[in-house]
Amino acid sequence: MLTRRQTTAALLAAPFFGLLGKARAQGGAPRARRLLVFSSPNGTIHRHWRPQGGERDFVFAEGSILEPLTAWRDRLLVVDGLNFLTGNNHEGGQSAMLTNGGGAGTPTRGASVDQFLGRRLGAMDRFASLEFGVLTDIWGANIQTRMSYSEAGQLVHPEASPRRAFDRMFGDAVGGADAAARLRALRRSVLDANRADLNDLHRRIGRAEQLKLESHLEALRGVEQSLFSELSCGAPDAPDALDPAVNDNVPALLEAQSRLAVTALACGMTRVASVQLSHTVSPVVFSWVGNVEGHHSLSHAADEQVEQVGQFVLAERWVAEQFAALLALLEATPDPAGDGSLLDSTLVVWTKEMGDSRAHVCEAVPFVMAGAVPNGGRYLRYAGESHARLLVSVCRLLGVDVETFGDPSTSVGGLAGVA
Amino acid sequence: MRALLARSIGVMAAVTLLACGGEGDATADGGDAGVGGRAAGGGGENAGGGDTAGGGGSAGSGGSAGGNAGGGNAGGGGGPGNGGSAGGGTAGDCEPTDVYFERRVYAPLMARTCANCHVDGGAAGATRLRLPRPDAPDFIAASLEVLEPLARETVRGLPVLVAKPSGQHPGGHGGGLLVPPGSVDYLALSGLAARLSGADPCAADTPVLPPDDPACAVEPPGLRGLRRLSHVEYTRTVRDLLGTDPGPLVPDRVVHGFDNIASALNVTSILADQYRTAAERMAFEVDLGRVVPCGDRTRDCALNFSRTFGRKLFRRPLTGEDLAQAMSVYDLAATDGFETGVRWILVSMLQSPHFLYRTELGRRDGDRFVLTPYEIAAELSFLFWQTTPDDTLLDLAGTGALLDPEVVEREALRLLEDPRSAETMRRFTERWLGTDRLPIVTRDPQLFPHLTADVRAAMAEETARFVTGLWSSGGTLDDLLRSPSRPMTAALAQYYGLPAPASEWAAVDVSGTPYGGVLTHGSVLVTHALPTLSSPIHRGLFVRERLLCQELPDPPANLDTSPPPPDPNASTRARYTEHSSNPACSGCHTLIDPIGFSFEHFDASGKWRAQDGVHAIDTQGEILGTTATNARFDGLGELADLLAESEDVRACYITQWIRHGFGVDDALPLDCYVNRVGPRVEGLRDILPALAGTTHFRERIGGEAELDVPGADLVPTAPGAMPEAPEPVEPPSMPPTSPPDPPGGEVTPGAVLVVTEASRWETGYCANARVENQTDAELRWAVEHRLEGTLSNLWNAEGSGDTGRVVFRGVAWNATLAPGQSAEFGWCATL
Repeated sequence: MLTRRQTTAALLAAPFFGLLGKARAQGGAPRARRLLVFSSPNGTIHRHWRPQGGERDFVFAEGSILEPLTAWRDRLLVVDGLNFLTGNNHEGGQSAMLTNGGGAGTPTRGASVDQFLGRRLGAMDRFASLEFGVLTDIWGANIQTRMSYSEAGQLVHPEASPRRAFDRMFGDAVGGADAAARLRALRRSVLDANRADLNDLHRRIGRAEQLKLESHLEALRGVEQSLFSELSCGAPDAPDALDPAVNDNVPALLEAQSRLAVTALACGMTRVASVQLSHTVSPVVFSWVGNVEGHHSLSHAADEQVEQVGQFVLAERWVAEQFAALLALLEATPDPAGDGSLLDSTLVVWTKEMGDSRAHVCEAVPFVMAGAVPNGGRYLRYAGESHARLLVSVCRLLGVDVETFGDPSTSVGGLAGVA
Repeated sequence: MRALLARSIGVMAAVTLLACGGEGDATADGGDAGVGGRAAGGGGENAGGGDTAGGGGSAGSGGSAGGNAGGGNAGGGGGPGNGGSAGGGTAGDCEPTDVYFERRVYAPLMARTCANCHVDGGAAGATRLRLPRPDAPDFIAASLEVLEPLARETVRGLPVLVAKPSGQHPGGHGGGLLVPPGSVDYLALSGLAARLSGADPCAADTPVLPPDDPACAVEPPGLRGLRRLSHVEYTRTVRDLLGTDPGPLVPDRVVHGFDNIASALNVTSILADQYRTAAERMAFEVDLGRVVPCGDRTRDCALNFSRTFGRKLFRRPLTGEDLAQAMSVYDLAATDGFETGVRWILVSMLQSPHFLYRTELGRRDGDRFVLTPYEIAAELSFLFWQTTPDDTLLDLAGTGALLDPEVVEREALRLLEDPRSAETMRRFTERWLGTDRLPIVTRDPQLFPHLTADVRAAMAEETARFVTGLWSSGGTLDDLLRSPSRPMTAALAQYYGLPAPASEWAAVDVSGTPYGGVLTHGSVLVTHALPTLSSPIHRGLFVRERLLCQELPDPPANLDTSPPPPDPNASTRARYTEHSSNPACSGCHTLIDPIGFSFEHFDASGKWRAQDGVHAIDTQGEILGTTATNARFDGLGELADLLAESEDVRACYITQWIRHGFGVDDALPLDCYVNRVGPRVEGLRDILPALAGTTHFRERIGGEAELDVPGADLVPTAPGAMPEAPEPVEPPSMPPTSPPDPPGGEVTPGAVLVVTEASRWETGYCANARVENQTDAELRWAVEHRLEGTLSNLWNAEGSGDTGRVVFRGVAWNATLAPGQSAEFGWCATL
């Protein structure tokens, strides 16, 4: 009999592990215990993205953007025809993508779905959520370069350096037990002192400035959570030190960040992670697939610009390959909390911030859901409904039953046929 | 050439948000742009310039391809000359209240914020403020009817209508803080409340701040605030004080191209963790001999260290509480020896908000707060040097000398003469012109093989030497834009095709070539271009946004904005002209492209070219839509001439410095500052002493209940008027003995609990709680709360049970509260 590790190794070697997934999916709705958001920028060109065929009998055409996902077909929900009703264009799309808008007075208070769920599912975890970025800092932080919000207007920054992300995850797992206990006591006394100082300043100032300090206090809670929770697994080898601002490092950075995200989920450090490849208006040149122009420029190429469109499709296919690699990594990693692989219990969502990038519109924005999805192997087409339905379904699949997400006037219920 | 800089500038809007005509009709009236422009939001620059300070998720819906493209919150970007209490500033020319309401309050503010919830069926539809829908009959009159009682009713002296959304109502506001006190929206709302309470419309628009009349009869003070150190300031400060480097930090939000705008600087979880890691590392790297003032390795020495080095870190004398806190950390750590104890004091102080935030709080003096001399020392030092005050400044603060404006002026000149002020100019220029991105903008190596990393580094260095040279020698904005003198290396000269310098970085005179002024620097040209193309659009936008301070809305959605296809039969200009001929595009592009075309002799690698491929280059252009710069011109040289002589550009330079220097976005009446500061600025560097002479540098306004800055009682209130700061309360030699635990199950009198729901969904909710010690004595708190649902998570407190009546008490680090102190905890529960 094979051990689990051997099983997954064997699975990796098998060319048709997608079939096994299908069998599992048919055995009953998988239970999503974790969420992994994967995002890539600059919309798509639908005729190169859309699968061919119907809900069940669809295929990814040869040369199309999603073709690299063929082996995973039966673990996917390919979701088409959802519109953003609360934001349009590059910047509006980037900010609406995971939030569906929503101000302070709405049920989600403007939080993005990853942060919303992290706060609910991970309040006692080492990290409520972890954000991994790839070339997300070269323009600094602004609405275009961020996708996660703790609340309306409050950006959540991804860590763009795999090495620093690793240090944050495992940096304190050093030294013996006595040394660790002592370090904890000292750190606690420092946190204590910092909190007292924040509270002292807090009572001296007006409300607007108090909010600043309250978000600082909230941040210290996050630090505390990560410092004083037990690590349930040993540290793997640290990733190579890569310059996180260098264009041609993107493939290595994306691989390293994907690995760390999977490690964090596998170790139970968090239940919510995201991997963000660049950002809207991304200037990244996918030189490793032969691109010479920036991704943003290519994304706006008209159909007559055959060469540029071809370059864009090449770049997008490469992203699809990386998404497939992420699924493979999850599949090869055992679920620490149960049977099967991490993929079985992780809902993975590939998001984009726009539909057709040439038109700068957030209509028919492409989504791919994978892993712990109900009845995988479906191509779901909707007729311009709010993408809030997808955000609601994501929450429901993770056991958080909501009726709306973001701006309530544009959100009612989940995706038909999903959750 | 220089004379124009001495001219005083007239009435002009230094900051405008242009609304582009939707039907090919360029909005030429810059003065009115702001009203429509308020709605034209987003404001994010395509190339990393950042965003306006508004919230996310409020971007507009599609289809509104006209002037109101994108409904993003522009953070008051319209500038006070356009919104707020403008009214033209002319007596007798007062808007009727219904017009005022619609233009100043409803369109820019309520429609975007209040009306999301305060409508029938909305999240706040059951409150007293329930606005009619905009399509309701008599919408305006009906709205005013709803608003009037809320304007007449006051709480703490403020109309409820103002107090609620500005966070000043004791009952809080479910929607959070939407209208920061002092912002343009705040002024407008206060004006409305005054009108609805019966005030004379002509007198009602001056609620809190002095009128933002463009003539600026009264210079407005700043608002009290906290400015988290920017990453540059933090890094330079710890280098100066500790001699170590903190390493990289997660980037801050960029507003108007700058990463030091106070409203955008907060501490997120990841940053708090990075501060912690850096503090723990640096405290153990520092050479203690450098920072510890005594050699006897005793507890007294540690106390002495806390007092002396703490004063440098906190930029003020330490209070008895500060010292007690430092020593309690010391006592815990010093069981491993004196050194460990001292290093942990550093770990703690380096993460303290007293270190991480610069206070601009001051001490109450009548209706104002007057900044303390220590705060003025920090203002000076961070403005001029972007680092912490040196010993001279701290000592001048200690004697109160810095309360004397003459001393401030003298010190301003000392700081200005120091080379560190030129370094500040270098960093300012990189953010202002966007050239900080020069090393990372991608360029096709096949097309531009000679644009190596070395060449880029040399270009950056060239611009740095150029601007710091001008700064130190009294150069002007005119020189910046037109000077024919360029610091050069042989390699860079060869790259540009210019004569080699006499020695490395000697100046080369480029008179008679196309290479004069900063617009022709490789750093600017390469940064503002595309991987394969010169991009007239990026370069035109650069001039609009960075030099004219006019921000344009994003391209409307639903438009085909694909770049013009490559066409061997057409020049770049011809392709872009054709491309933007669509009426929906041309509204904005007539403001952008004709400026960008004048750069066409320079390719995407910063090299001059005679032709665009096989095509002749046409560099004729036109500036439209400005207050004082509209003209036709031909070529980059003439563009530089126009800009160098433009009052708009001059006002913009000052505006950019005010943003950078004061860390403010456009919620403050910038025009007023510009007009006050302008006449004092001739050379580039005159800007800093001029800013140091403003009221903003000395005074703040705040709300009623607000308290002085920590340690205000330890610093002089007038030059020399107070002998020596009183000795701080000696901290106890042992950590304070804690009061006894409250008996089980009983609540502590005077521990007051406030619970705020953080979020709610069908099957659960999360709540934040704050417990405050309202007694005069220290206490260990226990509070009772009737819990809705069953606890699923609880943090920073322990509970007596998980449902029903639950007694919460503190955990180790927050169980004891000093008088007035509060602790925060929270929970989530399932329903």
